Amino acid sequence: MAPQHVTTILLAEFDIDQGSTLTHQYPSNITSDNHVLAELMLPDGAHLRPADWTIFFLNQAKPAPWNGNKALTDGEENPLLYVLNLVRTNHDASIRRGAAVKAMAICTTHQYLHVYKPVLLLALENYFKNPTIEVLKTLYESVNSMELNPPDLSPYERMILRSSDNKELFIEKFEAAASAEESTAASTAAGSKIDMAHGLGIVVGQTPTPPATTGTGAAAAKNRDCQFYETKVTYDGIKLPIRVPLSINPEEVGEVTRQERLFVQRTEIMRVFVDQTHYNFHAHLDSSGPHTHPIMLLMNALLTGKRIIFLGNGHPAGDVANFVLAACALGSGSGGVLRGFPERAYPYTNLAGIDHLLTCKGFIAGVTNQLFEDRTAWWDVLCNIDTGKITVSKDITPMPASLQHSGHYDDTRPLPLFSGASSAQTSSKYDNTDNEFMADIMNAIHAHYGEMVIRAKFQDYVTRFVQLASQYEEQTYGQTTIGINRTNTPESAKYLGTGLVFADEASRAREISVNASRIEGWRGTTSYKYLQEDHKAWLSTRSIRCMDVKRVISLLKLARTLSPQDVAMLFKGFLQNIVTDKQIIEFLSSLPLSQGGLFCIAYGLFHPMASVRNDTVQFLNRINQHPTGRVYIRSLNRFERNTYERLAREFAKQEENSLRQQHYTRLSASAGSVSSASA
Amino acid sequence: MGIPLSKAIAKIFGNKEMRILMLGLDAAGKTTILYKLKLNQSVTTIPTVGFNVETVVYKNVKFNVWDVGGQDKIRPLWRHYYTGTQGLIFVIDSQDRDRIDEARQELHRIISDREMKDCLLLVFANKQDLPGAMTPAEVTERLQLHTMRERPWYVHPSCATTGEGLFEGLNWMSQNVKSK
Repeated sequence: MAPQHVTTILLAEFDIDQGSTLTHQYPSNITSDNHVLAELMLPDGAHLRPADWTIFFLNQAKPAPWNGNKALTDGEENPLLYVLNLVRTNHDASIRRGAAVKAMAICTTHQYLHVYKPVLLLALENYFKNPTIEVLKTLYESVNSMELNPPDLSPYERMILRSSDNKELFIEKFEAAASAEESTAASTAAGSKIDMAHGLGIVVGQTPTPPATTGTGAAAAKNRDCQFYETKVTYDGIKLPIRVPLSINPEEVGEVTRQERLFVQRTEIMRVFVDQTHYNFHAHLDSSGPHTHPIMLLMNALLTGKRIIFLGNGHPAGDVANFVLAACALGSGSGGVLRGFPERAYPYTNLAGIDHLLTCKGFIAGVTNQLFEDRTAWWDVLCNIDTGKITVSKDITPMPASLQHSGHYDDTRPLPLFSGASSAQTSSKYDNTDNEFMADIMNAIHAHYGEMVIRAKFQDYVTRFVQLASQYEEQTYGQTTIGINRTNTPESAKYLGTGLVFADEASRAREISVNASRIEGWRGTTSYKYLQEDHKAWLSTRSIRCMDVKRVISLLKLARTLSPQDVAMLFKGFLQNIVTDKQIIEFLSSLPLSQGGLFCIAYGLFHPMASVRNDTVQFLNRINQHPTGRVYIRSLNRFERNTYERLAREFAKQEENSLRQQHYTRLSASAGSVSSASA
Repeated sequence: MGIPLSKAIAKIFGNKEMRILMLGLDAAGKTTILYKLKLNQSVTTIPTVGFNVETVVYKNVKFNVWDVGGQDKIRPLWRHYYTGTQGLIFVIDSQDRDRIDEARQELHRIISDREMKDCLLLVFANKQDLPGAMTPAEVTERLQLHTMRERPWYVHPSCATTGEGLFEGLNWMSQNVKSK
């Protein structure tokens, strides 16, 4: 049986005598706590507006596997459910008290739950006309009959796709998926696929889309946006198009369209929170001391698992829910670096859910009741989306005692570990990269960069934070379970080592010391434990085992002079170790197209040493054989591309010459023997 | 006149603020009272999902009035609003004799909460314009208010749609609130 897209349909209404009531659950009961569910579906103030979209999650209190629970059965039977809810208030003078408030919700395991908005709108409309469980049944059946065969993309391929607007990326996978659906079109699609993969010459500016064919699958592929998989839901005789985002990260929930809603939202986060009230200096939160940017304060609160509330006094619940989802994306590195954020997110909750909320260690919750502002014992950090203030609770738990052992990183004390540092350094101690990063983000927003660019920046930021944390661990505890090091990647010694690249030793020491307290704060959270698991799994499945690709690339990018010998070694290394399709994809995923793609590798074409130039050409030739690699090669700048084409031709000629020469020598040798025999 | 100095100062400078919680059974008229106070006009209300909150300024006192929905299933949420409340307005549908005992039970449950021990109690015997409405004396009797000795309480007849009696009630609140 095909997996269910939607597990349950819920219907709640505000009974004018009883209050919030959960009327129907189809096909079966999802929870016994009907009252809290009804309260969540009928958010505060629903009577004040015609409609409100909200999101909340179910099955969050899932016990973590390292608490002694086997994840197996748990994960299968009780996956985290994303709930999209629509509440509507219909004024009707003919009924008692003048209005009916009803809400319908779709519970799905798909994180892109926003695709169900149109169908939910229609279904709730129908329910108002005909309030029977049949409406839920029809909806359930129609959303579950949706065809969903998206191209199968690996996490690395998703990363590549995310970073680019290029419509040609993975087109071969779309076609494979389409041809699987439409067996009649299979031959034509496959034919064009082979066609594309052929030939070494660089096709510039020519779109390798297949010629229009009779198969609908192939025809649809022509105008396809590779970021989405298009399908449809037929409800009530109406065909509703559904666009499933493909490059969505595992922890991203909700709509992540380019430049659209979330971009606005993120900008809003930035614009709104420019002020902050401090009751309490907290080393987990104030990584840059008194100059901590409010967004960084929020970021630190997210990383260190604080209890965070977004308050939108009198706003629709959908508003605060969007802020919570954006915050999850922020903390998890756009959903691609750290895990464990959606499971502690409560995009909308209210007083009915407070008892459950308070059992959660570090929640991220959205509320619309200003009462929460006064209850400082309930939260650590409160973000008011109206006033733009981020408030740190006066009741925040002080830093745990266990942290005191790393007192040499304490914010107020000098650093005995780096006692060579002068006192002048302490004053510049807060001048860390965070403020630089935020300035960069603000510039990008003001220049109207797309949501994806902003998200990519945050993903890089969190990636870097993790790398920094692994360095900190190595230094403080002598080992790390979250990063590449000499122990798990012994061959890396040959290829410029492992870990983050710093400008110099002093800046390394400074960054680590500035970040120490939030790293310690993060090390106590579930997202850290998830990362340990993920890293362990990654180490055993990665296809490039000999080098720290991220480090190598950032060294190449840092126009710092690597010795020619190092560079020669490196390109030899690429040529020897990045061979299979899997390795090429993994390698390319560290070179996002939005950040120049292969440009730093193409530098090798201009290297003074001929061997480096040759290795680069050979390596680029190999990449060019790969369908995704071709897209990368095509997106090199013209200068690099021309150089590559020229060198590739020269190289091919050389090869040919040497082959011919070999052949000739062999030939002449044999001819010689013949002639000598005849003589 | 002999008014306490603190009250005189408050009257002169007008910086008094009061947090008011308005509760009562569903359809008693809480939201209508709130918006009559706020806008001085009668609005058509529909059942409150969650709550309404408005600031009403009357005689230099800023009243922060919280109006919380009164249906049976959502009454357990009332307790979250108790902390910091200085005055409780309990609204009675004076025509609804069937549910006056239910109202009494709810009222006594609220004011027996520890968080509410210092708060003033104002009862609006609302919907006085309807035929057969209970008089304030009758409401006092049915709510057994005479058993409350420690707490200042006051029952006032009101009609939310016309606004009659509402400001008299607030006046009593502002006169009797303990200065913080």
